[in-house]
Amino acid sequence: MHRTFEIASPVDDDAPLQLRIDSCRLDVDACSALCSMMMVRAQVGSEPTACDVEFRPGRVTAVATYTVYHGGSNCPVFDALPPATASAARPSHTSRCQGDVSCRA
Amino acid sequence: MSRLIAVVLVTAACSDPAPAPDHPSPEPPPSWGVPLTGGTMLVTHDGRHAVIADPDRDRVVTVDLTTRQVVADVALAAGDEPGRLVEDGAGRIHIALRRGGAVATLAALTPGASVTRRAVCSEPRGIAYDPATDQLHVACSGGELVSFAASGGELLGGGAQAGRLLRLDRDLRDVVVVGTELMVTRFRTAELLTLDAQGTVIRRVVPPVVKRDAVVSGVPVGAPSEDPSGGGPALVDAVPAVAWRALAMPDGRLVIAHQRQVQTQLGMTPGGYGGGCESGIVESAITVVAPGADPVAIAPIAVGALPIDLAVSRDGAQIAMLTAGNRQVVVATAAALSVADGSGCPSGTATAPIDDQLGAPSSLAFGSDGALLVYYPELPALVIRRRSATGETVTTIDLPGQLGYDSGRAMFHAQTTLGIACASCHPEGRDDGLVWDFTELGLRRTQSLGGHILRRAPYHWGADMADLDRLMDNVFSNRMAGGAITHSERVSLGAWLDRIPAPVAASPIDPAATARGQQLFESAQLACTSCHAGDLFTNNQRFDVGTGGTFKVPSLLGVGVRPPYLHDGCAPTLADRFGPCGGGDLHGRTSALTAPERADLIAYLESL
Repeated sequence: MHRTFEIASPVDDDAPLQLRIDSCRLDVDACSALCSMMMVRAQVGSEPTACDVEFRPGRVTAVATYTVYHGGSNCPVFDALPPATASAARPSHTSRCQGDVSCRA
Repeated sequence: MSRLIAVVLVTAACSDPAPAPDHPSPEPPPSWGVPLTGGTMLVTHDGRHAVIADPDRDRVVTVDLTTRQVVADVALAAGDEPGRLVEDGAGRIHIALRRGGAVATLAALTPGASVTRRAVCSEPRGIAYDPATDQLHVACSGGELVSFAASGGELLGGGAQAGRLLRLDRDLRDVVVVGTELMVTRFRTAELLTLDAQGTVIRRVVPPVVKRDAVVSGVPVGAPSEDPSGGGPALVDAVPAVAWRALAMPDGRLVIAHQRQVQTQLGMTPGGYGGGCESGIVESAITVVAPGADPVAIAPIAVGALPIDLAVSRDGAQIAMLTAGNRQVVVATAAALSVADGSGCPSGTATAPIDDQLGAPSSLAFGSDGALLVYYPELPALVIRRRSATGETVTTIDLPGQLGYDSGRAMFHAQTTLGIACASCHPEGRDDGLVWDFTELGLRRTQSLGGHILRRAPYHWGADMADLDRLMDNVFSNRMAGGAITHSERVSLGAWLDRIPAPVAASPIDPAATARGQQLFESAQLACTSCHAGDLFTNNQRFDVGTGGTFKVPSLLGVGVRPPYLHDGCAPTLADRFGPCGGGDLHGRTSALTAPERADLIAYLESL
């Protein structure tokens, strides 16, 4: 699935978001953190699998691609989690589906 | 031809008047920043200013806490790496320059105020001010404890204002004035030395060893602790290590934020390094030392890797702790310091963790009004939290300097889902001085990353990791459950690590002995240089030198400051390396050396 976020930039009074925008501009691999933040704020309970970002004067467009998990014996249903559930730890493969590919939709 | 180009350009301009968008850079920017150390911010005695040392940008920034404006921004020399700082009785700020080998003094917190610097030692770390004597005390990693007048003047050999130089144990960290005594911590061992007014070490203590359940690769070993049959619960020692930060409470107690090594085995399977507050291999801990009393391990107030900074409110009622690995800060009441340790898990006495989403914080302080100040080096920014009866206000102040971005640096400090970071065992990019028991390898002493790491492949004692890519996959992604490594991280980590220097040796006590030792080291008789060759003192080859297997020749850069020695740490000192576990004449033909010759050789090794 895809979700597009249009962000006015520079961002006023939102240092965390501006940090992620500026980091993404410097390094494409930092863009997933930008999409992650936007998805958490939009209460989309998934991690992005891709994040395509474009910078234009005054605005940033971020397109997040993500997978919706429908559950299974080893897969939680990723739904609209509250922002407080976002983990501060580095994401790990082992914290997701334990390698069980059958759970993918 | 030119006409055709013109037509094409006009057509393109008409069809799409909007400028083409910019895209993220496909390659990461150049390496940035230094390892996190913590403890680089203070609030002045009058409560008006926060002074922040920025080791990543070699500057010192002063913020007016009333107007919330930056009022002074002092640029230091490139590579100075300003660290701990202290205010004296006249309001001057003194900053330990970790790589500059000096103390910088700001005469005032105003633009254009004079900055002086005094050379002090090769690697100054902690700094304290004694109002009773108007002296500064600087603790150095080389073991020097240097004391001198805060008001200025020559430091050593400078006549009336000359200071005092004591040579203590290496790896000194923080120094704290408690009455007429000085308390000095050592970084990797977390040992606490107490010195009297004459500079004599009158007491040595270490934080207590506590017990933890043995868990290997996430699986408890032996019967559970609560087994009513008494069937031998498997408990292991959790020993003190890596004292990141020590400071004094208003009541004279010393509080030390440090790590513990849980001496369980390390698995080499996915997630084999354990994890969580009840089965991790490294814990964040706090030890409290009351004057004249034994150290007491208290229940942790936070869970998370890299407890690099502490702050205590001026009334002593609150304590805050920063865990850089999970980018969080917790605040607890002072009552938390009276809760004895029970397990590796927090006692529940702290507030919910604060995560400002601004990257890894590196320093904490309390304002005179009880506000909590947190410094974030990447933006850089200062976040101030003030609580009142009506709620909490949060203010973010942008500080001078460009965004600091380095995905390798971030990866190095970020904890994985197991609650450990690369920097847990390689604090400040070097080593923890510990020996670890691996399920398939046996004992292995942590190796230092400092000093041209990219020229030292292959890696590990067994040289089983051909390059850093393989090591990252095997250790970080697999054993530490760190997840997938991005292209940017692969490119950036090595470049960032490679900028971390080996420890600088302290100045030789006896230069003549050092010179004689060098002659021995380079002699054909001893043949040390047949393996410890070149400017890194290694040929990166593997040999069996009689120490219990075939191992890679380690670099000797900074060897004097990183005991214990050999792959299993069997030699607590360099002298012990020439003892029974050192390999004998297979490991350099040294058996015929006289005792004075051996002492000369050791003096030379300590100078590297």
